[in-house]
Amino acid sequence: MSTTVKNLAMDGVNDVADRPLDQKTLNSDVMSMISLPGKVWWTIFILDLVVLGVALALVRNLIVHGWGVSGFMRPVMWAVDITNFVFWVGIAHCGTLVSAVLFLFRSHFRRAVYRLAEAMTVFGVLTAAMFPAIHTGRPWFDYWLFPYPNQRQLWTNVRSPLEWDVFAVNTYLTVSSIFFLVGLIPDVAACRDRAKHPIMKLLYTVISFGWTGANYQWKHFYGAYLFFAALATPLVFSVHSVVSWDFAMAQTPGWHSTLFAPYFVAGAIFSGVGMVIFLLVIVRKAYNMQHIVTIDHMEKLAKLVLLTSCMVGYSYLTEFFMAWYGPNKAERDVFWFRATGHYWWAFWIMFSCNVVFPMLLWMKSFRRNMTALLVLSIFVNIGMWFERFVIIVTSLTRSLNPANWFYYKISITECALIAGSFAWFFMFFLIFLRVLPSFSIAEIKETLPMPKRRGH
Amino acid sequence: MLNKLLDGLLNPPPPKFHGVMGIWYYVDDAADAVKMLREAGHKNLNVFSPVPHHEIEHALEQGPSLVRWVTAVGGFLGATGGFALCYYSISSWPLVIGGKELFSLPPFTVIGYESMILIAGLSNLLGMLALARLPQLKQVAPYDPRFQEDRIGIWVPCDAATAARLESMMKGHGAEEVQVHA
Amino acid sequence: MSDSVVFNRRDFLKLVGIGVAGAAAGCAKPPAEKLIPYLNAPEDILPGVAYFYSSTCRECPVGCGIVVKTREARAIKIEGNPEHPIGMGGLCARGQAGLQGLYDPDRVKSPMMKQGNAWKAVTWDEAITTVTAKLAEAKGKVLLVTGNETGSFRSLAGEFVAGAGGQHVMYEPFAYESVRAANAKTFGIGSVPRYDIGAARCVVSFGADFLETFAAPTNQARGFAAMRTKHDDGAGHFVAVEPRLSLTGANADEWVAVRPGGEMALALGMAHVILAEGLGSGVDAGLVSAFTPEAVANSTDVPAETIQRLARMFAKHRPSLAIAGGIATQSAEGTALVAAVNLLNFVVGNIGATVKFDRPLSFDGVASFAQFKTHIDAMAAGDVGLMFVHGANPAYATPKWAGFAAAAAKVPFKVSFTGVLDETAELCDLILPSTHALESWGDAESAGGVHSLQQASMRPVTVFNARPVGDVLIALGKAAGFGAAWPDAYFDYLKARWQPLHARYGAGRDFETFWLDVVKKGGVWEDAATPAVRWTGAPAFAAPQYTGTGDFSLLIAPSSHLYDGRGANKPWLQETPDMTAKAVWGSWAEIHPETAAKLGVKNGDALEVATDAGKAQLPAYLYAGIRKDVVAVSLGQGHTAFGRYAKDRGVNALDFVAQATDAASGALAYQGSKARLAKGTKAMPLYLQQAEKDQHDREIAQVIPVAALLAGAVGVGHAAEGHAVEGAHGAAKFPGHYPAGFGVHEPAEAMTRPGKFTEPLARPDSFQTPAHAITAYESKEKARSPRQNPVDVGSYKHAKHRWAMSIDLNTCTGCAACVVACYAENNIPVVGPELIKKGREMAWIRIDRFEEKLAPGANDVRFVPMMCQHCGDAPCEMVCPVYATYHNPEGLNAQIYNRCVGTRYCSNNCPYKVRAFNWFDYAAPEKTTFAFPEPLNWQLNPDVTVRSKGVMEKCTMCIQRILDGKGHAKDEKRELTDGEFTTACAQSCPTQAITFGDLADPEAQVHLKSFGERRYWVFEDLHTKPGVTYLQKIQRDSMSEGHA
Repeated sequence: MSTTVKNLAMDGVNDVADRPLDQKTLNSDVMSMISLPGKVWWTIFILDLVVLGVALALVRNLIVHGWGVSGFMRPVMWAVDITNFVFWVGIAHCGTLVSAVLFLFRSHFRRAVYRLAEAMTVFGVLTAAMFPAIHTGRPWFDYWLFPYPNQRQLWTNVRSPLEWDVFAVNTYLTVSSIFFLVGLIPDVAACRDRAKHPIMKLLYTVISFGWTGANYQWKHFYGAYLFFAALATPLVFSVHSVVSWDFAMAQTPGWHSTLFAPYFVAGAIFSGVGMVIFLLVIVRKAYNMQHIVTIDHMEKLAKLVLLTSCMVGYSYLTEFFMAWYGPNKAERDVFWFRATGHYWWAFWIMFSCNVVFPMLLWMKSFRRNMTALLVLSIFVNIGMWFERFVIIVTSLTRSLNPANWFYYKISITECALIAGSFAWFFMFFLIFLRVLPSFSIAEIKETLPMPKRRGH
Repeated sequence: MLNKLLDGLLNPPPPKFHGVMGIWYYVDDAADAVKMLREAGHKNLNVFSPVPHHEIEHALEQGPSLVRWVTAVGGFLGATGGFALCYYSISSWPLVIGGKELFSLPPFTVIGYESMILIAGLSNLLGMLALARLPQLKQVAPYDPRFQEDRIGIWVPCDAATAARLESMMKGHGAEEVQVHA
Repeated sequence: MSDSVVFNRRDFLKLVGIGVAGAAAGCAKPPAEKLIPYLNAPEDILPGVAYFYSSTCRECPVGCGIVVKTREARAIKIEGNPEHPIGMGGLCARGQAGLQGLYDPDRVKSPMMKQGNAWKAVTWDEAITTVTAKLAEAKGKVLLVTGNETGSFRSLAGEFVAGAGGQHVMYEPFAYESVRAANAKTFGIGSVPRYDIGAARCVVSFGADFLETFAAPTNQARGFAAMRTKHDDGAGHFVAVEPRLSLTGANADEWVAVRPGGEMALALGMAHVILAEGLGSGVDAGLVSAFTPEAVANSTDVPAETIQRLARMFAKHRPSLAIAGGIATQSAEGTALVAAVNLLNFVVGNIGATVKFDRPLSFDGVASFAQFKTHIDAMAAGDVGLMFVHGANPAYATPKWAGFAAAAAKVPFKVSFTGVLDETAELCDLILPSTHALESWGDAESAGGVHSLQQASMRPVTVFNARPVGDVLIALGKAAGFGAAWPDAYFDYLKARWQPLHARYGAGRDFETFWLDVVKKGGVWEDAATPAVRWTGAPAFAAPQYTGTGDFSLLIAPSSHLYDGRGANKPWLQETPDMTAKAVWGSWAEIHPETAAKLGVKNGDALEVATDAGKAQLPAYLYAGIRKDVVAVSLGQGHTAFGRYAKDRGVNALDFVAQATDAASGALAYQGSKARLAKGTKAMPLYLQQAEKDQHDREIAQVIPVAALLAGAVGVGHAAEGHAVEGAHGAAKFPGHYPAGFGVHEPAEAMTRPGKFTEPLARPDSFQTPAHAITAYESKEKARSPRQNPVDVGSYKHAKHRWAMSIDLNTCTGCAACVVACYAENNIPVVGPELIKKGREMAWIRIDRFEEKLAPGANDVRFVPMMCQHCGDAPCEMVCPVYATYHNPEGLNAQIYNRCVGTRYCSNNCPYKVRAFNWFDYAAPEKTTFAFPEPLNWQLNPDVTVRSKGVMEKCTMCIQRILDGKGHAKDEKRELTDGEFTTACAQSCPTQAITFGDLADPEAQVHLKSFGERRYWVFEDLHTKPGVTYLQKIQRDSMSEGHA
């Protein structure tokens, strides 16, 4: 029952996956990743924790002395904090997209990659959620943003886009985590059966809910899974639309645009897929999983990047067209300032990384070249971070009243916030790699030909 | 010490079962066996497999999962709850915001919508766990790790008398091995 | 006295004085023994109730009437005394900042004796004994240096030096010597006249910064406002003749960029035209025969036709007014300039009409710089054995070459009565700290016939062991044996001095009653008769020559906030931006952009300014409102002592002043030095509070041409258009109250684009617009008029008022008095230069300066006081997730500090960017960012929260005052009356440009103004329905005036 032939057929230009793959080896291959980490892993992990520690020290400063330690000022009262928030929410969007939307579309290449993408989603939301929390002037009162009954009848303002954020982001965090954990159940059951270390065994036993693979379990599992997908799909779009409305609902020139919701969703998927590619290229190489995540899978993801890149590029052009075509002089000023003003470099980094470079993906050879994809995915994420930075900072800098036009200057604190957010994300991700099956055994197994005595 | 404790926790003394467990490799054989066994009147059998197989599902004549209804109810409650929260929070203490009317639908819709998804998702989870009898704390049938790899198991609870007959029937339908628990 | 627990007689009498004053002022209360919250309160004082004391401002030589607000026996706010003829209720920024002089943390805490280079605290008794001994030694060689003293203290000082044997000299850096000299020469009256700008129909200023520091700015500002509101038949023009456009000049319709020193020639040229064309008379035309327009044009760079035009305009719009003053008159030929301008005024008959000598400012006794120099020389020659200094800081306020420091070194013993350790005190041997003016009794003859009383509004701040200088002089006199005639306390001396005034103005009252009335009213003033003035002859007319090497003329101007430097220790004044450069906390050199380009200097770059007298490095400020051959530096900075806020900031411009005086008057020639400019290497930063001064067509500051105004066109072209439903809301409540053209309109007509969502809701006739929704606003874009019903449930149903404000840009001169008033009223922290530069200013109201046209000729600089607009449809409210900001039932945009989480979204969504965020914990004493070091925190207004870290704050329209007013009305069971209370900014405004009130009251001033012509709203197309209505500035075209 080897699928060697099949795999050879899908071979790419630069990595050969000629390992046989059947039901048994699939289990062992995937679970081979779950082992005591080696030197490399530990080095990366420790480094990661150091960065995180430094960042947390500066965050402590931020809270003790106030946001004055940052470079923020009037009129730019948001900058890196919200930039990071939107960036990580965006990253988080790919996972649910791949697992839910593609599930509904029955496009099977998702099966190989969705576990990793979902893990990325959950960790991405966890990272994103930190920023609204610490960016407030008095973080210790953040709980006031939640509508909880209190004797003073103080409720939250449901008309504020920030309040929508509270609902959207928390819903997204909950649902995507459930989705992630439910999908894990059968695989974790498999791990449970193999686990040697008692603590690991306990962990797996607990989160596998005593799964045995019985027919009635499968029945309801897939029954529910379908609905998770059905719920998560609109959620993906709604969440980033809501995030975009943080800006679109304000009348600040450069923010006040009906384009924002689709524009942001496209951007989110763009950056998310970029991040997935980045992680996959490394993981499949490091753990030698080319036979599970094949070149074809990678190419399909690359096509997704190309698609969203075009959508994002179209949005940029539309924005400029509307500014030029519309009656609002302030708006025109802002966009002219974006491209040519004090932060021109940020704009052009964004534009080249998000619109120009991805056009290389029209070439098949490029799409199937892992090194190329790795580099591009890094560019994509840099570009998308700067997109949010440009949208937020340039618009605020050129606010309506010229009397207080001041330029925002980034400070060490914000740099720490950026580095820290990545450290925080990768801390979770590194642990995930070592503890949970990074690829969905059950779903990939479904793609394998089933042993039949009579054949077809 | 700790390990011993965990060991006791994870490997309890195996419970006693009464029935026959047959293990298949080939899917079509297993499906036939299921059909045959059900025709023989053993409706209360269980099938264990690493992945769901349509043939077996057909043989079992499974209907669609009921979890959808739980989810629907949850979604409905979530939406109403969201709108209710908006309405109540504003009417309990009316504050003029930006010169707008107190009750405006668009913002309520966002809140109601997100609440709907949230509650629907949660009820979907609970529904699934309940219907699939998860978490399963005590075994309902003998279990074999190979069920998570590539083997299919069919468990028919029965008394010692029928056990022998079932064993031979399973063997006859291509079971790799048959375990009799009597 | 604060150290004495038992009352001695002096205290007792003072107590009575204040007590009765309080009674007369409608509130009786003895001063607190200690300025701490009462443990057991005196029976007749109500904690939480404010008490007001009339007094006299001593922050500049003029002496406006003030009212000091005290709470729990602490002075917390200074406002103008509406009854006083000089200030007329307004009070400038400097006057209000007096509080920070009172609570200056760097005030001397006790008498100090210099030992070596260190100061050692001594007791008052030791100090008195020491000085007494010195008095005996220095018999006949005593010198008492003070600032301008016009009341009882002057006579006491006179008697003191008479007894001790010596002289009393009053030194003021700006003593208007040339004005006095010229008036003496031309009219035979050697004093500073009263410029009745309000009576003028056209004003030409020859370098006089009469809205900033010259003469009595507050008074003149009020007159200026009156003058500027006239716009019939081309009246109300104001032309500024100066090489550098000052803040005053920025208010002009036309800027005549005369060559430095050419002002005199220009004035005479105008006079020549007037006489030649027979438009005026009174002097022999031969006086000015030399000054033909052509000749003048050569020496002033002003085209001949301009001169003729100005002359004709000046003669046509009578009574007109030409003012020579400010720095222009501080040149080697200052007297000649003033004389020339006097002549110009005389020939068109302005003397007596707009230039009045009925109430001359009291500068008569002030020494000219030359006179003071002789004293310095005497000191240097060792002819002074003992020097007392009080209220003057010559060590700082005289040029280095005057050699005051060196001379002082020759004086064996020097005593300073200063409150703060300033440069002069540093030179002294003994400090006898004197109480602040707000803590001590005194009086002043602010102007001829205006006798102002300076009442002690509180007991001296306990942390400072200071005594009133009067008491100390008396004590010294008695100890030295020549003061037997004096009473023990200066208070009694003062009171005795008022006996003759009682005789004159008593009007039958016995003295005590009279005294009470005086204390209550703040003084007595008579309307002195205007003396007949005739032309008594002119001095020789000669233009000042600029001496020294260099291609640039140096212009040194007093700072409108720091004046001659005595304001530099007040953080409010340092933080309030200079209204020309919009820079704070330092000094800079203003040069023309083209000059800068030649030098390769950019804004803020280091620039080396050098004269023969001295050189220094300053940041350059590129200013189009200055001649290309001129460099300007402001006075007031560069202190080497004078407390933490003043020390080591910027450069003292006096170091540049070359050695020259005006022979005719003895004035120091601030003007007259050539300067050399070079690209500098390193200078202090330029801390700009507003970098961008172009409003990018955002229509923030709007103007309306006179023609349009006369034609009846109204603001923003509303006239023809229909009106939005919100207009109808207000009208529905007050039918018929709206001025013609602004009343109710058929909703149908209001719509340009009919449709389901653009037609207004049909409302029942009984519909009443709730107060909070009343607005003067009219949207230009009618189709976007909102459909929704204004909320009228809960507390929104019963509210009666809609608080609103109207700001008249035509009379706003950009003096920034409102800014300081707001700082004082609302406990706004001062954050210092670095944060200001970063854009973290905390001010709730700021004056945005927009330079539309900044070049010789027609001038268009606009000032916009910008504070929270209290929008009806506030963008900030919609985005706050926790309701920390919302629209309150009386139409205010309320900010709830203790609910604020600090998401800062509101600020991002505020189009006016008037919200200030607490980036640091400015109120936490343990933090380095603490803004109120003891005892500055004593000034904090108990009615206003001190905000904590991480919350957003902004203008509240002084809601504490609103509540106070409503409370009083309720207690007295009556309705509120318009104008019975107002906001701090509106109260302080010298020109009354700000009007606050209830928009729902159709008779209220604010209502009439908000619905009057010229009204507009900033960013009105955003449909925020602001509660602040601006009135367009009237734009006059003086260039079209006076053509032949």
